[in-house]
Amino acid sequence: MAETRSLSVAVTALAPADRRLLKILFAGALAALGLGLLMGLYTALARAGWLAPDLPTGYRAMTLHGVTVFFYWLTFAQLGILLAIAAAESGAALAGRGLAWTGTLFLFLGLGASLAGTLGGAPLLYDGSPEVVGDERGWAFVFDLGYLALALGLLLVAGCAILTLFRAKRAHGSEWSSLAFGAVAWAGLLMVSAVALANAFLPPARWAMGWGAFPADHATLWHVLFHNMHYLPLMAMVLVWYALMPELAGTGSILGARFSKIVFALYLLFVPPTSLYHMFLEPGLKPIILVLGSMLSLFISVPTVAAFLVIVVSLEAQARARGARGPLGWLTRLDWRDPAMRAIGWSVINLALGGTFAFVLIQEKLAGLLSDTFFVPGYFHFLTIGAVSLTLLAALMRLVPALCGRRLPAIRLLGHLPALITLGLLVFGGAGIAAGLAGMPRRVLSASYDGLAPAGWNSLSVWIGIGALPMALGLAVYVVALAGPLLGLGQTRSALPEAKLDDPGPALLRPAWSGPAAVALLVLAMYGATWFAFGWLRALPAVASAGGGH
Amino acid sequence: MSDKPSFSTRRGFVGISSLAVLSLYGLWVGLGAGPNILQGHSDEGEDSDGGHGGGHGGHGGAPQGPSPEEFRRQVEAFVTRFRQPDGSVAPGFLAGAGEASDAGHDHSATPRGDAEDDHAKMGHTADEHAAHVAQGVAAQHHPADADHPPAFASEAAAEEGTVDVYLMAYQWGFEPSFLRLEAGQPYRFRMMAVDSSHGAAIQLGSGSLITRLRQGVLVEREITFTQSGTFMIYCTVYCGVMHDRMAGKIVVG
Repeated sequence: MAETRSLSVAVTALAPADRRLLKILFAGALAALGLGLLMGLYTALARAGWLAPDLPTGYRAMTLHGVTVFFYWLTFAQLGILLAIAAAESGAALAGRGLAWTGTLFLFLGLGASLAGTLGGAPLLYDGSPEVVGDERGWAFVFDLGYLALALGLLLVAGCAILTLFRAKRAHGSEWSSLAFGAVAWAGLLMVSAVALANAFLPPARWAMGWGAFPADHATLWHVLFHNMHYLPLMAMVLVWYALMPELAGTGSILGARFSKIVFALYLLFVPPTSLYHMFLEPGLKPIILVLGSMLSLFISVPTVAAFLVIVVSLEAQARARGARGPLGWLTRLDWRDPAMRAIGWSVINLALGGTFAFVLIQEKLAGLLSDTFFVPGYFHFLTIGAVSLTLLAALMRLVPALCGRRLPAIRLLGHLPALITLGLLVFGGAGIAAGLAGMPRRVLSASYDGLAPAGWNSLSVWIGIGALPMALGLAVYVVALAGPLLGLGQTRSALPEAKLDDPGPALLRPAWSGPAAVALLVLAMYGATWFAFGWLRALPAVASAGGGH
Repeated sequence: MSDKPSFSTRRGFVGISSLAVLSLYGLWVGLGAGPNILQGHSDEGEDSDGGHGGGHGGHGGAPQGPSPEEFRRQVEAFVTRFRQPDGSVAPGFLAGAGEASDAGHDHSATPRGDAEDDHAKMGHTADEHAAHVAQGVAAQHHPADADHPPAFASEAAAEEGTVDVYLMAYQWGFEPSFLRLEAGQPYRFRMMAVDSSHGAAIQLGSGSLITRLRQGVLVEREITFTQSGTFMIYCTVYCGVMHDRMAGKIVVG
């Protein structure tokens, strides 16, 4: 048995100032998630016809939902976990701690400005298009300032993580562990996103104050930003799986650090050039660009599938080396009583569901029919909530009690939440995908169009609202449970034991086919969904010329 | 037990398995939705899925197209010319014979009048022209600007020709908001968002044909309805708080 430092054990040994910083970042994450889920539920219920807000109020709620969940929850949570990994790898205090504290201050200032700009001005939705600002340019400036402060915060906190990881490298004989390497790549992409964020929102801010021309290219800059921002959490998800594998399953990668480093580096290689598919509906794109965009988009799957295989193959082979029998016997060796383990398990299922439909959308001919419909929220909630958020919450369920020295309440209840959230996702996502296929637009408060719209849109909106309820309830319980220890509530707990890793040698001899079989099933599901979508496309009672974008 | 690593735990196998999703491209090729690289054949630009949906001809672009003000005038002329007593606009059915001259050009009785003429001068055949349209180059060749007044036209007698339909999106509505079209007749939709970005989606029952319109950019798309019915046209790009009130209708007879 080889002994290793598990992530949640390592954070207990951090300097008090670093622990305080991580707790503040996680508190910010939970505040953003709590507000975002309430606004999301409000929007869904309004759409279902159960609430009747005036139009500005409804669209402000929709804006707050996107801003707080997509930008602030995911950023606060990612930065907290990134710093925790960096500090754990370093085994010492954070390098450039002042940068991280300043960055965190900017994150909160950004959140405040984004909220103020949304509540005070015209609802812009989370992409903050200057085209819909109207006369509210002052408030639009405040809204844009929020994103610029967020960019600065991202840059500073990610910079602190990189400094810390470089110091760790020097301390450990100029060699990064695979996790440290992945964290450096992750931090680097976060910094790229910060630059993209500033690039997208500095021109609108200048225009809003009369200091610059109208940013006519905002939509393009937004696409570039959005592409980076929405793939980063996916990278964060696989890194969290990788980081927690030792303490949750007593297993590290059996394929070696170099192989894992290559996998993490693939994100750097494939994320930037695959952004074209967001623009499939944009007018003016040449057909060759559309075809190339579709082909490149397929490559975005490679790093995530590779990381999934590394983890699942390692878990299965190690379990078989310890005596697991039968095709799925290795799964029973995992500790499903741990709510973090359960959250990760369900996140894998949701990743497969979301991925199946995501790869329908990246085909340019289908994207042209689906990109601006509810098909998109229908599938991406599987990814953002069901896969990414559940994984980040799993990390918080390990890190928050360790940082606070207190137990989480209602452990058994927490263990059931992923199933509840997935149930909600199935209803919400199923109805949303069906609505999208029927052409129901996203980003509307009501889809009735004074009776002109198909009757099915209204009933599907009701099902979307029904699905949102368990999703929001499950997430709200997570927020409350995790806020307890951060507020000093709950029972104190004793120190955690170190994770113990087995020698990977014997495991390499064991067959581990579950991962490849799961990937084969996923690809078959993608084939089925794509086949169905093309059949649906060809049944439409109109013939149209080619082109298109997303 | 063998002392060799299992095939399933070899790095090469895991690495190659990671590429599995790329095989989806083969299905796309099989469905006619992607060029077949192995045969060295590219059907780039062809509507190889049979033309059902599949995005839109995003040709145009501000440099080639009319300004929003020019487009607005073209739409007004189009609506005036084809306005019907019930308030609908039915391109191909003149409101009155005397109105032909009001529209301001003399090709109105011939589908694609001046476009066809120019193509003939350039030595293009009708088939070549159709191919150009499919490849999204028609707008670059024949932008509708001050020198090329709109070629909407087409009497019902216009055999097999394409009839122009003008559609302007603005906060918060469409002009015209009520179109009457014919099943089986190819239409060239000439669309522009004149104040902010909008969408122009046509709800077709089982799905929608969606076009994204950026402010001031002319977008052209050829559409042929294959069934009759009443179809809603609506905005799919958030354009302000009245976004979900932005709708019109197309009756296809």
